[in-house]
Amino acid sequence: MESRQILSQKEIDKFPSHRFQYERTDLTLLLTTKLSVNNTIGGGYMIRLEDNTYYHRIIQQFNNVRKFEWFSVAHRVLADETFTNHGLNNFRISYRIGIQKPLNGQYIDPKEFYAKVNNDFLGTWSRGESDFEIGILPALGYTATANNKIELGVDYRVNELKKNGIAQQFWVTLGWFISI
Amino acid sequence: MISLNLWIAKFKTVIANKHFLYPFFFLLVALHCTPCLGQKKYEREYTVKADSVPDSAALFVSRLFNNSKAHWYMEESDTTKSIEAKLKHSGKHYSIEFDESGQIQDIEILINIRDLEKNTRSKIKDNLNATFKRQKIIKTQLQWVGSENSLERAVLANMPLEGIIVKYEIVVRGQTENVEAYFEVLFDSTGRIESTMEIALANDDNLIY
Repeated sequence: MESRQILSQKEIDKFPSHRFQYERTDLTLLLTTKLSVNNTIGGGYMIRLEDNTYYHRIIQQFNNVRKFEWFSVAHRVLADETFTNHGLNNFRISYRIGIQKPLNGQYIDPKEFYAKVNNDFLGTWSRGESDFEIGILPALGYTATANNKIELGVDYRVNELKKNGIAQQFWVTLGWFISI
Repeated sequence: MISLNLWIAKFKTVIANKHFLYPFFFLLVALHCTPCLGQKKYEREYTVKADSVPDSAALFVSRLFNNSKAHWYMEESDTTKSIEAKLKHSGKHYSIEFDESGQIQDIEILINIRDLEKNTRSKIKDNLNATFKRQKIIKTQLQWVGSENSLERAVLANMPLEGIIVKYEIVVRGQTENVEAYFEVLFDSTGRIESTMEIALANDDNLIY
């Protein structure tokens, strides 16, 4: 589940707005299965409420996670298709590389902190238009128990690279991962 | 094309009625209620400062590897605690394991499998092939077990001398009948398997979602 609130925004040739604003809420159900010890594939469904419109997204993804002596590296290739009541809204393909390192010792054990950095590249095709987005997401994580992780980080993104002025987004992220 | 249009029409009806939310929420609740069917062995490893390890362990390391910076770790399992010093010395990676009181247990040296003598390497590979349907060697360590004096002499001589038992600790990614996993396989000096233990991997779900 993901929810976004806007604290501040500015558009070109307009004054900045620092008004709190609800943006959206996503509910995602993603099921994955192991192909091998390092590789998983998954698929899922997401529903999003944004601007009083429901968006439905079908997700397919492949992951490769490798543990090295001092850190882990994850690659994720993801494709998704988003629909509204009016049909296909957009199609996206993304690649993400993530590196995670324990801040104490070689393994991330319960009650220990870790650092994580994700870098993703996202292509979007929507009604004849395309866009490319790059994001970098550093985060500080804490493993509360073997199945509970909390992460606090930032998510910086640039897109609309083909236009004159690129769009920048800066999000503060708070994540809670529960494994069941 | 007709079936596709029918499917889209049904999809739109479901969306309009918002009934699609019910199975979604049901699945969400059901997944949170799934009982835990298995337990993992609890192990924890963490950094400790050099001044908090037993004097005998710190002295052994500083005496033999005086120009190398050692990183110290405490390893706790359900039943045991051990202390490990990891360091690089003369181009080799050493792991020196002590018990909780500072008594040395073994010294491990990271090597390449190709560094082993040909007969031993062949026996190790044959035994791995007999144990796993498919396997790949990830890491090989030479393990020296012996008294403190014997280990000290072996480190200084850079070779196992009298009083040292040589073993090989190999991490493999292997496939058994049921599962592919990482295993730690311990071989004796002749290449015979002494023990095989599956390595419990940490949960990395936060890296893929």
